[in-house]
Amino acid sequence: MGDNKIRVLIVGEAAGAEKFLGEFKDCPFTKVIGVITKGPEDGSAKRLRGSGVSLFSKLESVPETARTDSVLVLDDEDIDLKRLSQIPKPAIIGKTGAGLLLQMKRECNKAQERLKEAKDELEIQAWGLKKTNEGVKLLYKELEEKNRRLKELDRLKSDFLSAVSHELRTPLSVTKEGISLILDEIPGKINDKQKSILLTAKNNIDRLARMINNLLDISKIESGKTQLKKEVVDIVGIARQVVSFFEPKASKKGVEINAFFDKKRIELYIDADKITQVFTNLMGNALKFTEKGKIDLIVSEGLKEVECVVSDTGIGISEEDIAKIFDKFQQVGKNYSPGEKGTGLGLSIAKEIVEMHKGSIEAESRQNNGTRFRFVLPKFSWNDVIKDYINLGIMNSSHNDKAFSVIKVSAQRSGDAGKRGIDKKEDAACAAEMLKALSAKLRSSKDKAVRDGNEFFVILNDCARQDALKVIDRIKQGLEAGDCGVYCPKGIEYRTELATYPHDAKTSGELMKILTGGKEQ
Amino acid sequence: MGKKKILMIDDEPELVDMVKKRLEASGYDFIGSYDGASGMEAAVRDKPDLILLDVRMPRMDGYTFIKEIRVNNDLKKIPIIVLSIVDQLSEVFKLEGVIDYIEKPFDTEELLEKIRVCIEKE
Repeated sequence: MGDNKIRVLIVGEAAGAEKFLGEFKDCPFTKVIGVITKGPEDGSAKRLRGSGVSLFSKLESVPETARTDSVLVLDDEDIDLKRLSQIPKPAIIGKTGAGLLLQMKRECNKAQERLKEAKDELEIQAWGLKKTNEGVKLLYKELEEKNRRLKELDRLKSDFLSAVSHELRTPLSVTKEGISLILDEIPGKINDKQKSILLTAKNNIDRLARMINNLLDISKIESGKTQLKKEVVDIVGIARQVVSFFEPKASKKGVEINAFFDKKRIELYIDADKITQVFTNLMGNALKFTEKGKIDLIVSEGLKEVECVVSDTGIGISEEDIAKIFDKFQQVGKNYSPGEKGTGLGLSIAKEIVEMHKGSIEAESRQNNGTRFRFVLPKFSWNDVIKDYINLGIMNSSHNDKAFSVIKVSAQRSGDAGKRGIDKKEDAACAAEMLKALSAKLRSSKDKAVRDGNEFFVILNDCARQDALKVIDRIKQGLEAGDCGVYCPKGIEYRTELATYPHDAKTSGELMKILTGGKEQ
Repeated sequence: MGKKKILMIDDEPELVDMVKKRLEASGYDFIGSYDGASGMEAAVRDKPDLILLDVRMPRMDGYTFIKEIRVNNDLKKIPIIVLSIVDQLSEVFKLEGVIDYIEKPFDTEELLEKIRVCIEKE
């Protein structure tokens, strides 16, 4: 702050000058750079007079380097103001000014004192904060420890669940098979009473097995642990597999299964395992409550969603019961069915799964007139799938500190071919060929090639920029050499764009923007 | 036509023993192995007509077993029925050469029916 002080030259009688000098000694904003006195008859005055230099000429001779900002003149009357004002630069303040300066100085000192007090207080507070901080750190450490233990517990729970799932089923299999062997009289004859007892035992082993499966499913879903492993799969294929799984059981019971599919293939972006489970639960249910007649399984494609229906000609459900049919441990059929007992979880699992897919499920029924379950699953856009893949790729890569690349390949007719107009059929065939060609250039099953209209995306997990460039070279060479086959007309230009995480961008939106040339998707 | 030979590979000896009793009573020849690797040795040695395969096993799991047997020219045509738990349903469906799937704990009659269908197909 030293250099910013107001430089003051005191001019006046010695005693007054002395007084001000004392006052300004510790002033934070002024600096007295000199004193020029004019009398009375003391040493200094003599010095002035003796040297024959007048007060003003002395003032005038103050060198430029020692320039003052203000000249404090203590004796107003004696000063020839006119002459004084001719001295360049310094501003003159009289006694009043000096008084003001003093006042300011005092205020300033007071402020400084208050500042110091505040500073002391702040220091105390800082100390307090430091202590609090230490306490927080301790708490945080404790929380971390607790968190670690919770995670450990969670892991233990998972391990336990997995153990239940795998280990319990094996002894159950052994027990069940053992009872079956005796029931079928393979080791020797048994009587009817023994048979009936063993039959009950066997049925309950079956029930226990189903219960274990369902409990596991529901606990996994409820803990939020179940993450959908979504892929683009053919739901008709899934339905077919489920039907063929149930057919032997149904025909044994004398129940007919009819499957109706709108199309040969209907692709959806779903978790195949989970949707298989929904079908299995609904079909199992239908078969359980249907003694004669038929079960229909219908899959049809709507405008925005795909509808799946499982209906039967079984005993049906009363109006009162149907309201709670998706609740946990509700076994509405329990009263009427003497045979296989359920676990009361199958339908709530089905509902959870369908809702995880952003779909919906409903049941309608009339007692003794069959039941109809209908669930719908939303259709998908390839754009969403690509975004999902990119998001997933980024998530995995940031987790493992690795790179992740996406290549966009687009094909355009050029020159004469462009003028010929677009043959839709030809284009579709060409696009399919292109997707095949791209898929053949993938490095491993971790990579994916996806088509969105006339654009193709190649997702390269764990792939840095230079490796992605190699893949691009391979793709281009292949396409230009005619990988696309006969369906693709000559004269097609292939363009590729590349975006790599984290080299080019860190979010899926930014990566997409690079790929699509800044277009909003 | 001689007896059909069935190889069961499962890491649970007691279960293998139960199935052995059942299948022998149903007129099949039975070979049991308790892990994928010795199962593979048994397959090479005995050339069974059908394999019943568990998925989770020590030394070589069911997936690896299937992959390896499919590249062996002598053995690749042997039908396989996978015996496992429901969690892996669609995984199992995806595997090429798996003729059928049966869930543990399985229904004996269902197992016998599947075996019969599989062997008749051949």
